[in-house]
Amino acid sequence: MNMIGQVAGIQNIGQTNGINTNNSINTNSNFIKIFEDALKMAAEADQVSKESGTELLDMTVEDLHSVIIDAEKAQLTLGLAVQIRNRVIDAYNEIMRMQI
Amino acid sequence: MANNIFSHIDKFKVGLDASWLRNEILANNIANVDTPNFKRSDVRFSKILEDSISMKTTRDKHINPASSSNYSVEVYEDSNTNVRMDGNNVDIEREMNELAKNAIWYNYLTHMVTKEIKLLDLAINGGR
Amino acid sequence: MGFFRSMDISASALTAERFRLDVIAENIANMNTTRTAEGGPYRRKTVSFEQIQKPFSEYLDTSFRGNGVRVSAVHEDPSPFKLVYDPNHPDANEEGYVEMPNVDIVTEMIDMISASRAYEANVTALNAYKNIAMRALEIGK
Repeated sequence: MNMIGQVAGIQNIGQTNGINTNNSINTNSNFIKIFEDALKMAAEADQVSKESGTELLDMTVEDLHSVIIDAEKAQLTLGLAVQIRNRVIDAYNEIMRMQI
Repeated sequence: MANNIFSHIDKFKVGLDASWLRNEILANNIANVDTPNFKRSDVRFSKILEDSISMKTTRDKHINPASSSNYSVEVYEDSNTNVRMDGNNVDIEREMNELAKNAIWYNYLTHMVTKEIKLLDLAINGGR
Repeated sequence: MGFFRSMDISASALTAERFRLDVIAENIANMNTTRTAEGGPYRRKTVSFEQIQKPFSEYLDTSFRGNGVRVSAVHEDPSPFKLVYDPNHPDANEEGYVEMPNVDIVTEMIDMISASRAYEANVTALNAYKNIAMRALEIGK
């Protein structure tokens, strides 16, 4: 539990907070929330991009730039979610190596 | 969380929408240069600043007025210009000029959107 | 396809102005035609244009309804035929006058220049649309 609490301080990796059991659950859920938000965003962006793509195929889209901008946004959002996931895994592995 | 990383792109997109519509309207003006009693139309794209009531503060308690301004896109029929004998008020040279200006503006906006996308790409993926 | 509408608008004008040029060309070609299939001299033709309106389902919020131009009708010019004194002409009447078509070359030339100018302007409009469409496709690159 404490290690996972430490992982939550991902944006404060430079700091030395020590193990704080009181805050571990809060920081834990903050962290999970950030990760969940990122995934939700990525899913939404992907959905919007898919809808635009469908509009394009149905030939109902009104202008060209909307579909393309939505697709770029989806790509960036997904990239962001992937990067967060990678950082999380890295940090977790780092913590696990610190064990004992 | 990251919803506001696209705020600049969204602002530019409003401009792109207006510019795209304006191209259609100007094309229609030019198409109807010989149509009797036809009056030209155009787009009015203007900034509306919301008043302080709806201004939001960010986490740093820093008021950012630019993010709370809205733009209005208004299509109007222009009856002010000179009307010829057939009731038509389309000045072909002027329409072509406006078309060129609009195309340049659209190019500028797409350029800015592309720059913003590349910037975000660098910020997100550039670390690796 | 909504996003092609600008192109369709310009294309409609190209079609209409081309048709107008064809009619002008027919007038000029028949300037001296004293005998047509229906009998009598050739009568000058004119075209009239009207704006195409978008169908109601496509109005959206912007309430902009213009959707190009089309030829609404081809008219015959009711102005009188020209009378030219030429007693030796096979179509001369008892007084020696021939009824010539009511086509005036100067008028036709002016119309032709106007139609050409409009045609060229619409080609420019088409190119402007192609320019912004290609730019849109390159967003992010």
